[in-house]
Amino acid sequence: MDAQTKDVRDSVSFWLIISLVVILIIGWVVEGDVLIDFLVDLVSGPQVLTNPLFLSIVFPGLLYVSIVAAVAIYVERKIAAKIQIRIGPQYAGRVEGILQVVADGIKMAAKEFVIPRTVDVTFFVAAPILSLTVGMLSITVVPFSPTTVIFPFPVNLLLFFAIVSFFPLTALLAGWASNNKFSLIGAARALFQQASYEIPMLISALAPALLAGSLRIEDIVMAQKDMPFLFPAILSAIIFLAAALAETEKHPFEIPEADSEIVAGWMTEYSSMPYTLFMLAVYVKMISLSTLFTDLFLSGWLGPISLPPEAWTVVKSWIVLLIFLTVRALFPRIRIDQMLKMGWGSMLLLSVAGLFLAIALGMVVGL
Amino acid sequence: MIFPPGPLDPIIIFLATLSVMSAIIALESRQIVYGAVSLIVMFLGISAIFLYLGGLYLGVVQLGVYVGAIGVLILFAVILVGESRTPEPNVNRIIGATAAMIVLGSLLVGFTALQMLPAPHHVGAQELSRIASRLMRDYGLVIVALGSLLASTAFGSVMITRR
Amino acid sequence: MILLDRKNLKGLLPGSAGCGLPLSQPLLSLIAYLLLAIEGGIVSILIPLLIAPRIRGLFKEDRFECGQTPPPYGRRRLAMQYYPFLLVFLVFDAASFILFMWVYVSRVYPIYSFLIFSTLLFLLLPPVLLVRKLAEDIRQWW
Repeated sequence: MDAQTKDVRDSVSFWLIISLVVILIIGWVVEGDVLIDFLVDLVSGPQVLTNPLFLSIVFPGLLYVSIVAAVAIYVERKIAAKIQIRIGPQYAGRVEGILQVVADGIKMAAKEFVIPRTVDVTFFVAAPILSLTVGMLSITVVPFSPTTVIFPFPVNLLLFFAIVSFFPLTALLAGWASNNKFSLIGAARALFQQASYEIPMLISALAPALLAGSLRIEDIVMAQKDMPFLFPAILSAIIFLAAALAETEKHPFEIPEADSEIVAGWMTEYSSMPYTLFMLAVYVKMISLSTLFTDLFLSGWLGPISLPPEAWTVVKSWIVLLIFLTVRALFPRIRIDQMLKMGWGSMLLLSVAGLFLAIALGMVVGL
Repeated sequence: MIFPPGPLDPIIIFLATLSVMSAIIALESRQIVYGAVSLIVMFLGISAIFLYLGGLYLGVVQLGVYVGAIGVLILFAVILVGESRTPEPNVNRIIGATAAMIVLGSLLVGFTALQMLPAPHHVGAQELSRIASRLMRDYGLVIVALGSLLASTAFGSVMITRR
Repeated sequence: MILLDRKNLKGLLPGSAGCGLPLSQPLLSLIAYLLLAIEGGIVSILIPLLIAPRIRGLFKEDRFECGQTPPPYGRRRLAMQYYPFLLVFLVFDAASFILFMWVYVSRVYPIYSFLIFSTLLFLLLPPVLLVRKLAEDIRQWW
């Protein structure tokens, strides 16, 4: 075993030991029978929906997110293929290639994790884990119903934006650790892209918060009892959607990982599972952004027919997710200077205009 | 959760140790990028302390502005500048550490003697809106002054970079 | 219907010690979620290290340089032309968090707060116009 491999194994096993110790400490220190409560709730009916471990493991947590991410990847490939008059995944699973994602996952896991000689091993290994963690964190504050939220927080709208703004950090770390000019350019592009879309996103999210008079997403949804905020805040909704597209680095805004310009951007040196983690983080971010859009503009879990509240949120957020996935196949990529000019020009001005429009229409409607 | 946390609350001690340790690493790290990252960890620790003590808005602003914007900007600037080594340790460091200790000790002694350490209390959404209305009523023009200060800062820094 | 009784099961599993910190329910689910996410990341990085073949080669562990021989130092300096955007972003980020205070006062002082915060917004427009003006002469984008 050469020094490089040993270095990697040492680093990974160090983090593994640390996290196991943390889990043991948490398990030992926490008051009450957490695991037993979870098991008892699991077999005893609908009250399981508010159990903390159920929330974090099953429904808005890991299981839901990974399943929806896998489905989204498959649907995205099929939609892009149909729009571009191709066939798309065809063979795995016999029927329209529905097992393609599983096959790809197994393939990625069996690939060699190449760690180049010149990289900074600690950050090179830590960056994908950090990226996935931040992506997963972004869904903890988004409520699916008044009780179905992993971390209820009184100002969770702001907390969501604070968490989302960590993403360029992981991109910068990955780009620097890779010690490669393409990675560095991609990381810098990710940072500049964030600098251009984040302000319009914040200002357009201010419109529904102002109409509801609260920074708590649950209150914002409850204020949409009469009318979803899509109608008074239509301009803000459009700008928010565009900024969310830029946030997920999908096609019109796929600037940081532009394949035809800078190999794969800040993921150039990554292979195998770490690359998959970066990709998974992008899709998780997409899911949480579409759920947030549903909560802010499409009246969240309120619907005309009485269904379980979580069902409304899930259905609406999937529709928004479909919009994301379709737009990705429709537009060519823009350049980074065009992105900056757009973000600091039309998007910023339109988001301010949308804010004032939302205030005026809200006064007219009487919200 | 027991509230308010006492001075020997284990979570506070853990977070404070984390912040101080990463601040020291930020100063002493040989590789400057590692220093920038541990500076970001320090910001995270401070915001966690704010959140734990119930300063929700402040904690979130610390997360969004310090970690999400300032920390990332510092990291980017460090990456742009490239590798550079910190100077060799010298006697100034010891003098600085002693001075810091003296200042910290006298502050602690002064605060505890005068009992000026304010008792923390939970700031819920209701309290937040009360604070905001107070701020608005009494210091509304200060916000405008702050805005013009921010705008002129941005103007000036942009002009400096273009020079 | 409750199939199992909680009281009979107390103390059976680890994590039922009941000593030390009483964490509130949301904090508990957040921590469990966070740890599981980190664990998932670490385990999925460990899988290829454990099962995938590691074949050494002469060029395998070189940097990717589109087929050219990689130079010894890969981190090149970037042009500073977009840096003003970052500075303005910093200012706007702080200002937009101030702006969110509007939400709390919009019902109490509707007209006054509207005047104050829209003034704040318009005060911040000149730096943006300046930066955009400076960005017009960018010749080389990357």
